[in-house]
Order: sequence, then C-alpha cells, then structure tokens
Amino acid sequence: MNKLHFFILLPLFLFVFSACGDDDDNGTPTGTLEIFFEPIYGEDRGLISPTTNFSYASGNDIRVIRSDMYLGNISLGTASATTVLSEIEYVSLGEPKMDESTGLTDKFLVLNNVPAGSYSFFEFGIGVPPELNSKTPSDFSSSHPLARGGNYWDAWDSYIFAKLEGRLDVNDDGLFSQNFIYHSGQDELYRILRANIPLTISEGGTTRLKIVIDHEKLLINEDGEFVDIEETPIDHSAGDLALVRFIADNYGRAFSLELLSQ
Amino acid sequence: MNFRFGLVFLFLVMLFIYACKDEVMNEGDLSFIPFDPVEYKLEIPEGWPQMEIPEDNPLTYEGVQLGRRLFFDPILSLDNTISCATCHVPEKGFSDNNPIAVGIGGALGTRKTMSLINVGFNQNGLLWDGAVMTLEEQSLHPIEDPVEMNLPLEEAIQRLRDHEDYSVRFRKAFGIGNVDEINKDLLAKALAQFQRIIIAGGESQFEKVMRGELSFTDEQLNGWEMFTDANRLVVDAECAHCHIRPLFNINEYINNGITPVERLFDHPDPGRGAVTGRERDYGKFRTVTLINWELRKNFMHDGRFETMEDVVNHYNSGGHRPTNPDEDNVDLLIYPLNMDEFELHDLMEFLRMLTDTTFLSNPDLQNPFL
Ligand code: HEC
Ligand code: HEC
Repeated sequence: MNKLHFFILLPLFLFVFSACGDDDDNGTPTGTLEIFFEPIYGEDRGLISPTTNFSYASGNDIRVIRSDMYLGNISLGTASATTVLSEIEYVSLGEPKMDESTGLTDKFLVLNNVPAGSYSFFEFGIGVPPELNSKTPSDFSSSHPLARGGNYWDAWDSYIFAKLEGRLDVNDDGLFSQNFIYHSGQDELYRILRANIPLTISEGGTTRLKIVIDHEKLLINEDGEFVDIEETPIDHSAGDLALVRFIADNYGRAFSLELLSQ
Repeated sequence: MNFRFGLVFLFLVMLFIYACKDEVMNEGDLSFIPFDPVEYKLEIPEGWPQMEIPEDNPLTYEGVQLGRRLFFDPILSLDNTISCATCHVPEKGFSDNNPIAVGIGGALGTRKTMSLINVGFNQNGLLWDGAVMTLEEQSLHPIEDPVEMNLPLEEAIQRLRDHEDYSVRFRKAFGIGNVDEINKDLLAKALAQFQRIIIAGGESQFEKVMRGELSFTDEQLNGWEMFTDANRLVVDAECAHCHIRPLFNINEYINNGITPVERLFDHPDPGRGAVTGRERDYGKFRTVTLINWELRKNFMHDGRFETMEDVVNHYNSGGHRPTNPDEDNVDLLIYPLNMDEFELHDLMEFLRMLTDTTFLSNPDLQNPFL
C-alpha cells in the first residue's frame, strides 16, 4: 500500500469552495468516505495505549494515554476546486482497539454525501479553523462538537485544538511517575495538512482512507530534538506556546495517509 | 328468592355493569376539551449554549405544568409517599442532603441523588455513569425502581387515567382524545419538559462579573485564575478542565481519584465500566455541575465528601492513584496541587460565587400542591 506523507500548507494560498450545506437533494450523485485512524508510536507502529510502553528519546519508557484533536475543513480537491466534506470533527484516539481481521481500529469517521468524482488531494486542518475559533461553545447547540465546553479555553479565547497526554517512567522503575499534558490552541497553531493523492468517490460507493499518526514524531523533530518532558510536563497556559508549537510543527511528519479501497 | 328469579337478577346486574362500563368509556372521552398548547419560552442566560429539545417533545406551557405536577406528586410511588421532589428538592439544588439516596419505606439506594440544575443541557448521557441517554427515558426509571418509588408503570398509568384532573391536563398538553391514550411515553415527555426548565446560574455573582455588572475581589480573581490556570504566576487548580463555565461541567466520564483501589476491578461501584463493559472505564463517573453547590452537601457519586472543603482538600492532595500504572486510569490532571491555605481560601472564595437562588422564586419551579 502506498504511503503518502502530508505537507503543511500555508493558509494564505487556500481557496476553499465550500460544498457542504448544498445538499444531496439537488440530485448530485454521492458516495461515502470512511477515514480510519491508526494512532501509533515509533517505527514498530505499536498502537498507543495506557498500558503499552515505548522508548522515548530521553531513554525512559513512555505511555501515550490521550490523543484528542479537532479536525477542521476535511476536504477533497481537484486542481480547480476544493470540496469541504466536514467543517469540524472531534476525534479521541486514546485507547484504540485493533480489529485483527480487518487491520482497522475502532477510531474512524464516516462522511456521507460526498459528491462523486475524481479528486487529486485530501486535506484537513488540525485544530479549529480561525473562522470557527472566533466562536465559543455558546454559539452551538449542546451536541455540536464545538459545544464541548471542556475544549474551550477562556484564557486563550480559543478552542483547545489538540490534547496529548501520557506518562514517562522518569525513574525507570515501571511506575511512570511523571505525567505530561500538552494542550494546544490559538489560531497561530492551526495547521493544514494536504496529501496529493488521486482518489475516486463513486456513486453509492465507499472509499476508505487510513491516517496513521506517529506520536513519537510529534515529540521529536527531524533534527532529533525532543520535548524535555521532565522539564516541562504541563503546557496549557496562555502566553507560552513554544512547546505546543514545537509539537504542531511536527504534524506534517507525524501524519501519513494510505488509501485502503475505493 | 327462587332459582329462576336469581338468574334473571344476575342477568340484569351484568347488563347494568356492562352499561356502566360503556358509560365510563364514554366519560373517558376528552375530545370536547380544547387543545391549544402555548409554546414555553426557555430563559437561557446570555452566553450559554442553546438547549437541544427533541423534535417530538417541544416545550409547551401545558406540558411543563403537567410535568411539574407529576414531579411533585407522590401518586407515582407505590404507597403514595414519595415524589421525584422528595429526593430532588428545589431548595437543595434539586438534590438532597443524604449521602446515598433514600427511597420508599427508607430503602437505601446505591448512589448520591444528582442535582437536576441545568440537566437539560447534558448531552452525553445521564446518571453518574451515563446508563441512560435522554431525560424522557430517565423519567420513568425512578418510578419503577424498587429503591426509589417502586410503582409498576402500568399501575402508574392506571392511576393517572383514573384521575380526572390529570386526564384533562394530559389532553391539554398532548391533545389525546381519550383517557386511555395516557401512556408511559406521555408521562415521560411531561416529566422531561418540566426538568428542561430547571435552569439556574445566570444570576450568580460569577455571571454578573462576566457581564460586567460586578467585579471580582482580589481573592475571587485569584481563585478564578487558579480554577482556570489562567495565570502562570498563580498555582493551577486545574478545575476548569472538567468543570468549565458556563455550566461548570464537561459531561465526560473520568476517574478523579476519589476511591483508593489498587486494581480497576476493585472499584466498589464500577461506574462507567458497567455501562461500556470495558475494564479501563471502571471507576469513571460523569463530571457534574458546580453551580449552586452551596445548596448541597455530601458530594460525589457516593456522597463521600460532606463539604466543599473536603472536596478541595481531595483535589489538593492529588487523590488516590494505584501504584501499578497498568491499573491506573485516574485522569492525569489529578495530581498534588500543593495549594497553601491562602490559595485554598481564595479558591473557596471563587467557588462561592457560583450560587444563584433566583430559580427558587420562579413560580414554574415551585411545588404546585403547596
Ligand atoms: C429515592 C430518591 C430519588 C427519587 C425518588 C428520584 N430520584 Fe432521580 N436520582 C436519584 C439518584 C440517586 C440519581 C443518580 C442515580 C445513578 O446515577 O445511578 C438520580 C438521577 C436522576 C437524573 C439524572 C440527572 C443527571 O444529571 O444525569 C434525573 C434526570 C432524575 N434523577 C430524575 C428523576 C425524576 C424525574 C424522578 C421522579 C419520577 C426522580 N428522579 C426520582 C434519586 C432519586
Ligand atoms: C480531571 C477532571 C476533574 C478535575 C480536574 C476536577 N474535577 Fe471535580 N469532578 C470530576 C468528576 C469525574 C466528578 C464526579 C466524580 C464522582 O462522583 O465519582 C467530579 C465531582 C466534583 C464535585 C462533586 C459535585 C457533586 O455534586 O457531587 C465537586 C464539588 C468538584 N468535582 C469540584 C472540583 C474542584 C473544586 C476542582 C478543582 C480543585 C475539580 N473538581 C477538579 C472531575 C474533575
């Protein structure tokens, strides 16, 4: 299976033609896009879990317990137009379960009413796009993903875009006594990822994608620099975004895409 | 009395009974009563989320008033002694002071009575463990529960059908044509409508500060900044992660480390684990609102902390974490906060701003039988 990498897109060059809202009832043939997530850690692609150890760059063992994020403007596009399939989704990737027979996890999104056709790229943002981030949970009725009060941070005037939490075995005694909690937010940390991938949605059919997220690559950049978890175990306050910016800048390397079937 | 006469008499009696029954059925007709429900407008405080109301149960004045009567009426309990309001007492923030709920005949339940303040905003399951999803569904459970009201639903429905005032009210609320259309769905709908109007908090000191009508004292501001981790220079109390404004609740299932167990399966009440069947959900319970906590006592699902000071001391201590990390599902935000007595004082000063008793003078929330 071909593995594609994402590149981070500068929002400046984006021209988005929103197609959501103008529904199926105008007779456009549609299909379904299923997106499966595989939250892993490291080369061996082990699934993250609160009871599975991986080795961290500091030399200690690490466990990734929570990995939540908003995905904004999930889109398919061609050279001439971008179709937004969903403006906002919230995914919680912690404690995934793999179905051994299908090789797929229980973490997935199903997007219906996707206009049938051939596309040349798949794209989404990590976080809440600025036009939605200017709103607050009270602008939504209570079951909307953006009504989740626990994901809005007053002190930032922003939604919490992504939460990465886990434990580090700082004393190498198996007790994992160092917790880490990294929450990102604010417009400047919104990142758009695009993968150039030829993809077809056929009428009444289902196209399946898999997004693999390597959590090791979130914490370590391409130069081998890594987050000093012991030094900064918690980062979620206003005014200091350096650490969460480091993580956000690693998204492009940490996320990869596979086309499973179409 | 000879035998033949007896038979004729019996025949006449039966005819009479039959005729009477027929007449009762005619009496069950409600269609002559006007059905003209008026929309009930919810007053949701500024800056709060919109409440989702099921399309098949819009709020009407008549529905809410019917629900209100039912909520306060012991007719829904086996021996006519207990109503919803026996446990969900308005003056106690629609909860009660017992650590564990006490039902019919003094029967002890298993958990603390939940506050129904702002319950209509909960969209992620109800009860401490999320075992039921909608207010309509939850409204019927306590009636049948042997340790709550212990009345079979058929019996409850029969009582309402036999009750002239309720029959009329069901007609006015739902447009039924005959008493025998009163059923459990309509009972649930009426109770749910009433519970959706239980809204409080908009007139708390805190909301007044948010609207610019009041300002924080220095201590309150310090407490608020600790509560929300808003200031690098003050201690983080982390509360807002799980109890965020305006509802001071995120409605998620979390283990906040109150129960000292070494293994997940040792949790005396599995909580969310019993609903999902997943070991890692053992000991997780739903976060709840902090609004009007001052009207309540005995906090958490098992009522273990009598006062808010006890609660805050728990969080400050970092709670209980199993030694073996494999058995540990306590949220990572539960860790020793190391607040000193001045910081604890300021946090309490902030928490006291969350009281709003104006709902007690809302006539629609008062006991109609008083
Ligand atoms: C004996 C006391 C008692 C009575 C009577 C009672 N309740 Fe409750 N109520 C409780 C307890 C205890 C809980 C939490 C139960 C649990 O989590 O298992 C609860 C929870 C609830 C909840 C969930 C609130 C939330 O935020 O999830 C609702 C709604 C509710 N009750 C409505 C009612 C209604 C309506 C009635 C009357 C038909 C009623 N209750 C009667 C004790 C009582
Ligand atoms: C990690 C999430 C989390 C954090 C942080 C947190 N809470 Fe809670 N809180 C919960 C959960 C979950 C419950 C319900 C637990 C139960 O009943 O078993 C709860 C319950 C409560 C209750 C009981 C309310 C009632 O009606 O019984 C109070 C009071 C409370 N929390 C106050 C606070 C305060 C004050 C802080 C900050 C010092 C705080 N919480 C921090 C998750 C959290």
